[in-house]
Amino acid sequence: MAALDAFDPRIIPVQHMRLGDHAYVGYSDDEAVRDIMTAYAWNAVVRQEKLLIFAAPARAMGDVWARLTAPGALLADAKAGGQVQLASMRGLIRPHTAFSAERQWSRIREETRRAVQLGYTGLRAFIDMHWVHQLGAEVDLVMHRESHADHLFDGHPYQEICAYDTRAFDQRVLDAMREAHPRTLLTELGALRCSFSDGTLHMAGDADIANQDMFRDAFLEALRQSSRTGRLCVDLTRLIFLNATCGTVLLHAAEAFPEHRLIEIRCRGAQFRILRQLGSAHDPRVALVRVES
Amino acid sequence: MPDHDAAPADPRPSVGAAAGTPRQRLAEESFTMGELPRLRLIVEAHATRAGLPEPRRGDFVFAVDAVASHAIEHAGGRGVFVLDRHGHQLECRISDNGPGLTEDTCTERPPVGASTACGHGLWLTRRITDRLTVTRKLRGTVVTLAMSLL
Repeated sequence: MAALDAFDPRIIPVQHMRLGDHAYVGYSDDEAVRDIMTAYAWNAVVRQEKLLIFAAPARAMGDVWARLTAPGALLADAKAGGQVQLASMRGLIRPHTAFSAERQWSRIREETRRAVQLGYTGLRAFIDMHWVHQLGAEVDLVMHRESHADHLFDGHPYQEICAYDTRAFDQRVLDAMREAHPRTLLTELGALRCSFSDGTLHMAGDADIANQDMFRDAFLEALRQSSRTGRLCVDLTRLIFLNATCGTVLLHAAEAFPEHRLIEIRCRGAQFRILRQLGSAHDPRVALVRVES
Repeated sequence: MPDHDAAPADPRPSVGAAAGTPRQRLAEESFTMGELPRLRLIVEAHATRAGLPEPRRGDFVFAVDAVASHAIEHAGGRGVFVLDRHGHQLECRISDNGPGLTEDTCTERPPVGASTACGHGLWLTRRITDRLTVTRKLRGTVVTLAMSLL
């Protein structure tokens, strides 16, 4: 029997971050969080947003750039033109030397305005929270900042990822910070999260060759759990990628569940198109619903 | 550095690739299963910068993933990916050292039922790309996919 995660509507893949989003990601794998940072940077270039990266203070700038610019010259122009910049919290709040939420908020608003004046569609920041220890900031002050920052995001062209090294903060702090953020990111690129709640199977992340067994097991389990009602909704709107194998599972696995009268699949344009071409019309119980981003 | 033979450029003339137009190398990576999410990001980012609009951009990402996944499943678990811009065309070449694909594997007829799920990806890849060629090497296969930017 597949183990389905508890449903959490705040969980999204990093590629779904939009202006106005404030997200938490916890990590204990440095490579995984670097991949998230890299994806965030590439996406900034694609969306014409300026990006400030506040990397962990212990990391050499050359190391961060090497990670971002490989492969090829995807970020070379963005680096040269200042669209993607490495920053430090110490530098951001200067000439102040001690952290205060008000000073940081004021500087972020200033940087957001400047980014828009320069022609970018907005500003995004990737903040590794190791800066808290480097500046000797009081954790409670930082927690207050994190849980009272809505005004930075509501109606403003700004988005932010706060990356917490779970080895460096108490569990009490991590739990509170995850709760304080409206979004929580999947902890690695390519991850798939499957959860079932109120007759709906929610999929977030990537349904690819690495995850297709999990995808199939989750779908079959959701079909079993919804047998009594005969209706199942599959929400793919937080999926980044759907390969043909997983798409075919969606369209054919229900053949073993004749008691189902309706399997509604809610998806964005790319998945809608793939499922249509894979033959979604072959089972009249399967209804595709296109959801715009 | 990739540990496979470099994938040769497809010599066939094609829509959007004017004769004599220099190739611009956008990316070159060796990959295993763990690198596929990153590979898809690379393709999507470069395709966006090159001006390939949706839904064709999503189709291109799907197609590259389908061929790369086939190399992982059937050709030793790894391959080499090269992405070029050639005139008004994006061209991706995926090479592997295994038994690989043949033109027949990328069938033009739709597979039937769920048991051939792997075949669905390659069948769809042929339908949604502007050009797909399969070249057998002494050891392995090179699959070339191209999308016109026009």
